[in-house]
Amino acid sequence: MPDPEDCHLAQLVNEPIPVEKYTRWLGEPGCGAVLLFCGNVRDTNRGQSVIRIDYHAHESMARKQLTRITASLVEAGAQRALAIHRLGTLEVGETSILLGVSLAHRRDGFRLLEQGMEWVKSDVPIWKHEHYQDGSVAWIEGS
Amino acid sequence: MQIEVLLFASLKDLARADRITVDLPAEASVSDLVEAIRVQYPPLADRLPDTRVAVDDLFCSPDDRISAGSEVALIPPVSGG
Repeated sequence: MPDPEDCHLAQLVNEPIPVEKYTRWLGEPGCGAVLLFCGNVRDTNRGQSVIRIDYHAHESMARKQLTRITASLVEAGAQRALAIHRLGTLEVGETSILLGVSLAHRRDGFRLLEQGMEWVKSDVPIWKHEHYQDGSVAWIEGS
Repeated sequence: MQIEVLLFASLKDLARADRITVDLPAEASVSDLVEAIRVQYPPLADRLPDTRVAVDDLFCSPDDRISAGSEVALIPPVSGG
């Protein structure tokens, strides 16, 4: 039986997220399903034209919250789970979060992925500071 | 006791600082802290109802106690992901 701590991974990073590397990490011989969610920077929000987003965090707490989430996903049935969130300045189209689970079958995987994103959206202290085409900026608080 | 409180996102802009110092009686609770911030830092008052308090990287309940030396943070609604 693998150590549960080897089965989940949570990180904050300042560089582009290497999705393929983490997809390989999720791969396990017993896992027929590897599910990934990539959250990307969108070019519009609330009717405004977005040119980039700065992601800020309460870093020590955000790291611990992401770790709690991935541990909970393993406890709930994932064989492996990861959550990687990027901080700093991201351009439109770049990936801000990668959440992934692997397990035997897909149905539970979709459910776990959705549950994990709900936890990220409510309990991980990270905030978007959006920059708009017209030169204005705004903090986004709440989804 | 004096407690240093970390601020994030719009709260940091409203206070024009990334941390504030709050005067509290010994054995104060999280709800005492929120009330003290409302009185001592009026620019933050309107935002406190939807702001959570974290102590030592964990979200707290209103009745939890705050000790000197704890790391306290105000967490406005988050928007990661």
